[in-house]
Amino acid sequence: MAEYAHRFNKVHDLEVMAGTEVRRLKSSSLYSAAYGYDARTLTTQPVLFPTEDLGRQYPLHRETFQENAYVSWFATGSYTLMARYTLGASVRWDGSDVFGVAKKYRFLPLYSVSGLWRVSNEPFLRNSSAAKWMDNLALRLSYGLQGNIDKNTSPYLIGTFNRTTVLPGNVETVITAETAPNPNLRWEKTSNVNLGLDLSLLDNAINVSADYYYRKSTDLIGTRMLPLETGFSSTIINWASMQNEGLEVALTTRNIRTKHFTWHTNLNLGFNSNRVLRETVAENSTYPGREGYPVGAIFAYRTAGLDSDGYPLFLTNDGQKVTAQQLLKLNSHGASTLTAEQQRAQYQYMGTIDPKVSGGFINTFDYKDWQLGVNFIFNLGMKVRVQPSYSPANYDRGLNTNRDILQRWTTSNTSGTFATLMTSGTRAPEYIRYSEFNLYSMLDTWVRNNSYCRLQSLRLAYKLPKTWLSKVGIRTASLSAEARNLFVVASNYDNYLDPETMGNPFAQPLAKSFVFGLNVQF
Amino acid sequence: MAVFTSCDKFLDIRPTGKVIAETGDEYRALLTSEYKNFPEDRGLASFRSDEITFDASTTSSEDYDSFFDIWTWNDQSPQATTASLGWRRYYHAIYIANTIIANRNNITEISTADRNQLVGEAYMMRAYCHFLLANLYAKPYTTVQPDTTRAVPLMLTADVNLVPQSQSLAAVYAQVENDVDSAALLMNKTTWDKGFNYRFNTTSAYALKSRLALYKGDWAAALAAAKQVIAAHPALEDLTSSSAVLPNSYKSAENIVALEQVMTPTYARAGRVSDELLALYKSGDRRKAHYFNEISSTTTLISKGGGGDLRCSFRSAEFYLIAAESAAELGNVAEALTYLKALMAKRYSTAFYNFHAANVDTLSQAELISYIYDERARELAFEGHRWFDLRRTARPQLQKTYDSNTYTLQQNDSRYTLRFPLEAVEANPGIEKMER
Repeated sequence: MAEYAHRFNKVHDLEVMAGTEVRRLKSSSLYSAAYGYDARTLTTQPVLFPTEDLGRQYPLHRETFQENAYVSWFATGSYTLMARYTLGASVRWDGSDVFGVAKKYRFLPLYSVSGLWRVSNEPFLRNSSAAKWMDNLALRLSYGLQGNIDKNTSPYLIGTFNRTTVLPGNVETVITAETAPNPNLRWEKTSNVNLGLDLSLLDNAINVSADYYYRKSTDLIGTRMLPLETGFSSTIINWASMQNEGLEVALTTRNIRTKHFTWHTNLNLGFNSNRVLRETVAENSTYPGREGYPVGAIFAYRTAGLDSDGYPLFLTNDGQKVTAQQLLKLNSHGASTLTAEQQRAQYQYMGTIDPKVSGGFINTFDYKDWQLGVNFIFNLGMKVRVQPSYSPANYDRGLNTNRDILQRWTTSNTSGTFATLMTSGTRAPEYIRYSEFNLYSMLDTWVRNNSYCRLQSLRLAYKLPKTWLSKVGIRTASLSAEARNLFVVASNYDNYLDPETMGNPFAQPLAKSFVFGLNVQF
Repeated sequence: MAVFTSCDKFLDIRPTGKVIAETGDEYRALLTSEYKNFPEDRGLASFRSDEITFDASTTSSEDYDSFFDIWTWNDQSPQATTASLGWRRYYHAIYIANTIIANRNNITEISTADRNQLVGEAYMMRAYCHFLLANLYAKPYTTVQPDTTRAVPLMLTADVNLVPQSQSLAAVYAQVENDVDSAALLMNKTTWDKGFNYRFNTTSAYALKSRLALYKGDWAAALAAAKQVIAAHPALEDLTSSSAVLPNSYKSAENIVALEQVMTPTYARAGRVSDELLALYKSGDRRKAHYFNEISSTTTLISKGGGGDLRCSFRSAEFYLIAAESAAELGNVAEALTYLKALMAKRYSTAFYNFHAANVDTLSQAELISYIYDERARELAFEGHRWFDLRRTARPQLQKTYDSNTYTLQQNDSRYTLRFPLEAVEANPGIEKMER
């Protein structure tokens, strides 16, 4: 790596840095099995398999070997004029060993240009009264372009060596080639625009930093179904695209400052929204694609309570209440007679698993040698798909079940809100649908709101007085007590131990922990 | 740029076990993989014929789930567990064959003879796959106007971007014949050593040509090609000898190509020999004991299948029978009898042979043709011929009984032709259309 920084004529600042990195990794593994090992003679017993096939099932020796190489080149440069106008550029190529791909695709390019205007250094502000209360004002702008290549596809037909027997006793080498070659392989491209603002006011009592970003990714790698007549069922193509935009704001304020006491607050907020612009959906997929929806989109069947037998009722797109049989036009074997496309249309969009707003809220209080930190994090406005409390068709009495089972519909509890336990004898098509197909877990009943705010850390620290310490030759020392994950405030997360692990009934909640610390510097 | 070139060397790593075929051995290994994975659909289609029966008291539920709806021609709403016939597998073999054909001049480290043999086998592979597909999924050639009847897509280039439509039956047959002719010009291996004899050889080109002409009802061509096969490979397994092996074994003297297992262990275990088939065998027929295992008065198991050594796509006896049938159809009864009796001599002990041979001598032309049909059923039982023979000949009404339910396939029933597999239509609805 080489760096160069210099100031010319007191107004021109130039910084240039360039470097390279080279790595090569080798890994190998060896497996050997021996039977009847005798430690005294270091001998083993030969294994006689009854048939060749059985012998193949229990290999005594296996080896793997893998080798990868990486090369990177990078350079950045910036030029600043009069400490006000900065122009920057950077370039980076990351190369790796990719097999069966044109050489130009071995290096992933990353280019970016950026500009910064430090408005607060302009004479018209410096010489005005604003300079008294404004410490810093800067505007930032950058644009970047990044390329990525899928290493698992190739324009050539890539095969894997194997050994096999076609006719008895005659072992031969075969090459299996079950991945379709992709002659149209090209870069996945991501372009990135970033606008930023930094502002410091009133002797740094208020610091604001805001960033808006817009990222658009095109030609993303995705699976496309192929006509089977090509010899392959699917291939990887550059097809999908998505966009991501968001705003990140960080606000740091010094609320109170007296001789012995200060109070700092730090609030950061992130708003992100993303949208899939184009993706492939398999013809035979019965679950909707995300085109026009966020990456984390959840789709479910809208329900409308239970019918007079305790079976779920569904709300159709035109507002009617129907049974599963009517909704999916089931045949006597519980299979839907609707086309895959019609089945996809029965789903409705419920929301996304990604938060609308996420962030942190940190307060720090200093009084003399004491410091108290209160640190909250929050994620708001997401959805989560949870596991059904029980399966109405395959309920296993031997397993633990949560109390929802007590709220199920029965002939003596017709006000029950959860589906009845079904038997194969009645309404057979629906029974099969609930028992063998993935229907019950796709009801909107199992899509829940999820928002939470967690007290991530509460920390009290005390700095021992220096007068004591200097006598024993210690420069600084502090004692601290910290409680982590003390509590969480959240939307309803019944049946689960923690909103963050909602969806998996077996997941443990985030552990509460208490940490005591002694920090000494000599 | 110099640094990038040196980096290229640094980044040149061939992952262990991965390969882009270049050498003769590597292209051969690609083709071997297709031989290895060749579909056993001629065996599966046998479940639709009258060879196989099911019996409520001995059929396992697993076998019932896999094969019952094939056996009863239930194509409308088969159980989800029903075994599926191949589609993509054939086209994958065709893709590899096309790859070899397209790269024929780029293959390195290979002698001219080996190159020609390999490319010839690729043409055979493409021809045989298209031929089987057309006979599974298109109407029988002899019953329709071949040039206006929808068959299957023809894939002649290795290109994953193609979205093909089906071709006419005439076009598919013509292409198969074309490919067989190309293969015949290129192949130079007359026999492969036992163990490698699953590969196509020079005789197999005449063999496929003969079977194709038979399925077209082109008797003169069928006879001419069958004669070429017999001239090149006359041997018949002598079932009267104590050292006889099953004629469909890869070790049998008759074997020409030992590619398909036809009756896999699963198929052979699931099926029972039907009474109709057993009734065809005459007194003293040595095949009955070799082919079947009668475990009770009502249940007979299939011995002629399931074993790893029982692989056969083409063997001599079929061509004696094709020669006999074609000659009989052409009115040449004497010639037909020569071929028929040559086979019978190896299937009956001398006394029984003399008795049955004297009987066939008295048959009229029509009776002889019908006798040869039955002889095919006897000789080629459980080798994946019966279903296709029913299709190309009378397409008779078939009835099957299971647990007091009766299932009927009407004469000329449309179910004598399979529907395209659902997943194939879903992936490319265009195959239902015919390119004109």
